[in-house]
Amino acid sequence: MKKMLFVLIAVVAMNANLFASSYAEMASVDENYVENVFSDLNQLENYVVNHQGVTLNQLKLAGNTLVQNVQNSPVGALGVLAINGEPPLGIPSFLWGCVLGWVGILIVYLSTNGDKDEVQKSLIGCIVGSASAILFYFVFWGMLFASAASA
Amino acid sequence: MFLLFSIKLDNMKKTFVLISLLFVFVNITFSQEYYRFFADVSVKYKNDKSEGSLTMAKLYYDKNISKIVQEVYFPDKAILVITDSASYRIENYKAIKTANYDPKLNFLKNTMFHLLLENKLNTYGLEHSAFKKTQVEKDKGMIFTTWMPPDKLKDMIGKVVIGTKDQMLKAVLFFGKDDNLLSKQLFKKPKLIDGLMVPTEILQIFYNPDGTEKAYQMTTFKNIKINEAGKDNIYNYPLYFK
Repeated sequence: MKKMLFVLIAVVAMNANLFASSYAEMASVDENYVENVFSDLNQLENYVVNHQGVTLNQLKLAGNTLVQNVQNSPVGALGVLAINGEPPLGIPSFLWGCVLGWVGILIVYLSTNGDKDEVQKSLIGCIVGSASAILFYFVFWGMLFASAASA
Repeated sequence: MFLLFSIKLDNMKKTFVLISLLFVFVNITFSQEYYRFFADVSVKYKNDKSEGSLTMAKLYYDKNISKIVQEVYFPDKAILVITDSASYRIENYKAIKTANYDPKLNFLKNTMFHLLLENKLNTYGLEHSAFKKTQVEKDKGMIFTTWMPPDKLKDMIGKVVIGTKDQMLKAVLFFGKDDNLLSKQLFKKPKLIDGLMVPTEILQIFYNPDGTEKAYQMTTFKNIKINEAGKDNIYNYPLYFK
């Protein structure tokens, strides 16, 4: 009975690992699936590149099928995380997430739970600007130079 | 004799220190400084209801001027300028403010562009934040570094895990306070441009609380230029308020 219990625990423990996703697994993606997700937008992108100056409204008015599921305004991360349709802090949606780094990600997520001023106050204390690191660097070398000159 | 020797040693010490300082000074002054980033940017978005959007723009950033200028041409034409304290839309050459924010947020210094130009993209800028590095582990050839939020944010947000390979940023995983994956960014197709490894595709996936995928966003950078000369009137787009 004890042996059976031990074997059962061992089997459960081994299989438990199969359910836990490793960071490497989380950091991977099915490239073919992603290609499919964006296939219509890739076609639209190629069309825009080959027809300089064309706008979304023009394509919609012309009944172009490339834009039948395309929103009239840039959605991006805003579409996922906006409050009342307003971009967080008025910054254009497509800059959020990817290009505004961890500060941007936090602002977007925190904005859904708190008002703009509270979110900014929460974050300000978390940011140690690179300016302070540069100041330290020059002060350090300045002191070393001064002690060398007086030696 | 001994006195002569000790005076010579003292002079040698001074010379050594001065040469070391000169070496450092030369390195600071003449090492390659990256200060401008340009790219044709396209952002494609698709959610779980199959609603999508496409935004295409020319993006200019000069870290010394501290402005991001976007000449958007799809879905519509617009010029947008972001500084450290406000964002603007340009209409008929006039700057219309769309938002104010606290300069202490150091927005621009935490953008991917700034981190790239400073060669700090592989830590995502977290080493200059109040986030604490708590764990480093290796998994399938990648190094994953866990950063925990400061106490004041722990009730709101969870850890950030940075994945790198050969010192290059490959993935950023954002977790909620309940350790659920909120979003991930994958940095793909790096290209060497003027000595900088630039990811030319960034895929971001957003998740629902139950772990299902909510939306995908793909940002691509083409025709990238580093330290582009000229075009000062664009990199430092004038903001007229009257």
